Amino acid sequence: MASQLRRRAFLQRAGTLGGLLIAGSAIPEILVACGGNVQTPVSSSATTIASEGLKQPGVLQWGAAATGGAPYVFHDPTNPTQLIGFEVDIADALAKLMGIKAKMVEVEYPQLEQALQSGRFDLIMNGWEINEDRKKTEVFSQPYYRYGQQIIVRSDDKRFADKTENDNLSLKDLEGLTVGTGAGFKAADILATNPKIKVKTYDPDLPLNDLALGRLDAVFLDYPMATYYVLGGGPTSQKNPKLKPIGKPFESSDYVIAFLKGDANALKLKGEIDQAISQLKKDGTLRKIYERWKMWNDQQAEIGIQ
Amino acid sequence: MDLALQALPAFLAGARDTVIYCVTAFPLALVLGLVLALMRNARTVWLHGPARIFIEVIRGTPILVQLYILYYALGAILAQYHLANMINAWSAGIAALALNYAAYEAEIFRAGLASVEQGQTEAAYSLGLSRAQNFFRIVLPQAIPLMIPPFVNDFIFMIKDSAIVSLVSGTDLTSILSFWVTRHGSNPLPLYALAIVLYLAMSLPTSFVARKLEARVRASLQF
Repeated sequence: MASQLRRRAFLQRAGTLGGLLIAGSAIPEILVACGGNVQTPVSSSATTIASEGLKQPGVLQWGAAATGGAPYVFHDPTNPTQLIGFEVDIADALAKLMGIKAKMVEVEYPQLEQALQSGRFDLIMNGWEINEDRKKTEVFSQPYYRYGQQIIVRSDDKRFADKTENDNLSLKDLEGLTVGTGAGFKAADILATNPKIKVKTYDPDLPLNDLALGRLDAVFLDYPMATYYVLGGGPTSQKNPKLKPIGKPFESSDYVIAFLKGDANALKLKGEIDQAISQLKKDGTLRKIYERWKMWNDQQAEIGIQ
Repeated sequence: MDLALQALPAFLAGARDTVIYCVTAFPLALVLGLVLALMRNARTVWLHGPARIFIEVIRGTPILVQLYILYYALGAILAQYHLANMINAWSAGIAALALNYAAYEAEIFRAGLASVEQGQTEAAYSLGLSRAQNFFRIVLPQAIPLMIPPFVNDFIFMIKDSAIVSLVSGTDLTSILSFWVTRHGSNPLPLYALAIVLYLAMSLPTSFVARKLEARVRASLQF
């Protein structure tokens, strides 16, 4: 399957590149044909934030993995050629502030970092967290979302009958249980710190089917995924009556945008994106996006979202 | 280099799992494939019909979908009897690989058996050999050396195909690789190199043993 995906991504890229070349070569002719009537779209009064750090002027190219990527960025189940997700909304909002277009570049998740290093796009935005390894090659924007890890169990599991979403739970409550999460998720690292928890990791599917079938006692994942797959929050999402989240999310962490370290243009773009994020936080756009995806909560005030 | 050393124990464990999946699934696929090939060659429709349907359906659908059906659909049925744990990554992975490859091996058996001259069988019968004796002592031994290269081909394919078990929480060399690459994205080249070395360490001895085996079988038949 992986090789098919890669082939598809390659074809997509080859296709876009070809298209851009054709479009690019056609522009001078169009300009000539139009004579003096052409206005340059940049530097209009609506554009407040510069976008000088882009690889390709006018297009904010952001890297992400869309396979199983709900609610971050994924193929709309009702119209699979369309990409949707709260990160699509954020990318569009950022691009709008800069007066440009946003374009998602699809790469498999484990290869995102390589693709950034080889210059396939301007930045990574895909539920990305800061860690020691990434600090070696990347610089990061200010956070755009703060989230915790959510415990999910079966609704009819008697062991958790008295637990609600408002309880304060911790890893201790998972001791002795078989807990599933995604391979490479931050949740997997957190679970691994407690040897009394038996961890099973899944890739690229989420372990929610196995939880419903009784092969797992609980699932532990990023809160946005719990919202989308269990609570039925956000466009195209459906509530899963077999499962329920218990306890407040804990082990908080931030999603950030990553840029290539040591690259002057990327550094410039980081400044511009930071400026744009600040504006989205202030003018309520980010809050609206999170409310649309049912991801809004009090935690967001901690990173300055109004 | 440090990273490769650091990753070595996990990668070896992954390679071990890959080997376990393959050395259990492949013999099952061979046995089932032989049975299917014999059924396909049978005269009654009750034998060759089902064999043909099985081969066409399994060969014509993605192994991924077969694995999902085994793991989730069968698991959902068993869950009603609280037996869902009977189907785990090991049993579902091995079953999916064995069933899938059985369809391909069946066709290799059929081609191999068909390549033995009809005259051999006629001679065997005229010497008074029974049908079973003819099959096991005359036809099959002559077909085997022809079938070894495609079998080895498929075995090596299986070493790589077994990576699908990561979809159902199983681990193998590829899933360990992708996990480590995710965590050490700043410099994954040593990890890729290590994975290549380990995959070759599994496939090269297979080819070597198979070549020796083929030479020996051919020699014993004095071709």
